[in-house]
Amino acid sequence: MLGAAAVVIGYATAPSSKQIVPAATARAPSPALVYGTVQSRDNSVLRLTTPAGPRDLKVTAGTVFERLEPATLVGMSVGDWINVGAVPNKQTLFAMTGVVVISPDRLQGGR
Amino acid sequence: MRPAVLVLAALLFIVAGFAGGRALAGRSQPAQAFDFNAASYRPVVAAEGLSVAGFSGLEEGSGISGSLLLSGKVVSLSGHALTMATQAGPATLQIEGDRPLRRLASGTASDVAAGASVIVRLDPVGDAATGVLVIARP
Repeated sequence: MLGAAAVVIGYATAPSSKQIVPAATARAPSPALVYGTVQSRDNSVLRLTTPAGPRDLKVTAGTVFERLEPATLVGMSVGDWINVGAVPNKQTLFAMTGVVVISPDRLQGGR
Repeated sequence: MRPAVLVLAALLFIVAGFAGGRALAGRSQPAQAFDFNAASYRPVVAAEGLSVAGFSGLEEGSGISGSLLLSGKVVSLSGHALTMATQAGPATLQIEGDRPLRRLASGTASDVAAGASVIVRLDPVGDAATGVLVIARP
């Protein structure tokens, strides 16, 4: 009896080892991409109208310009890279919404 | 047996029980903790193919809704069917109808005219554009 009571008392009076967990903080959305309509452009500044308001961005000699243009199957060739976009669909799981073709010479890393 | 010895044994028993109880309680550590400041998961090899300027063509605002479903290199073409090598193995797509088919091509600064819809990739530090993708020209 005395031994059992001693075990219970020892267990109950042991110092608790509480671990401090930091409060969760929401991450700010990535500012890496900006979508908008060109308002004006000169050699070094690109002024955009974005959903968040007007924004001026610096254009440097290292800025790479690309464009997304309509394509056809005829213009595709072996070695092109394909990115397929889709949205969830109740009947087919996914419904394809578009296909983007990147030719090998425009592909990052030369995969 | 002398009473003193019995008392001493009882005391030792109590002390041992007390120490044992404390040791048991000391083992109740949290199994794990979360690092709320850790970066979000990114695969070692990005699934999508990216252009030189870092665009996949599926970015928000590109006119192609949804997220990446498949990605890979074209290994054969036959009629409306194209077979591509993906990370999960070969996949064949039937491209028919009015599915948006776009090519991510090289551009020039003159493509960026007033009224054009663009997506700009920014340098992580500052407001310098490292890449500009023209979605639609005026």
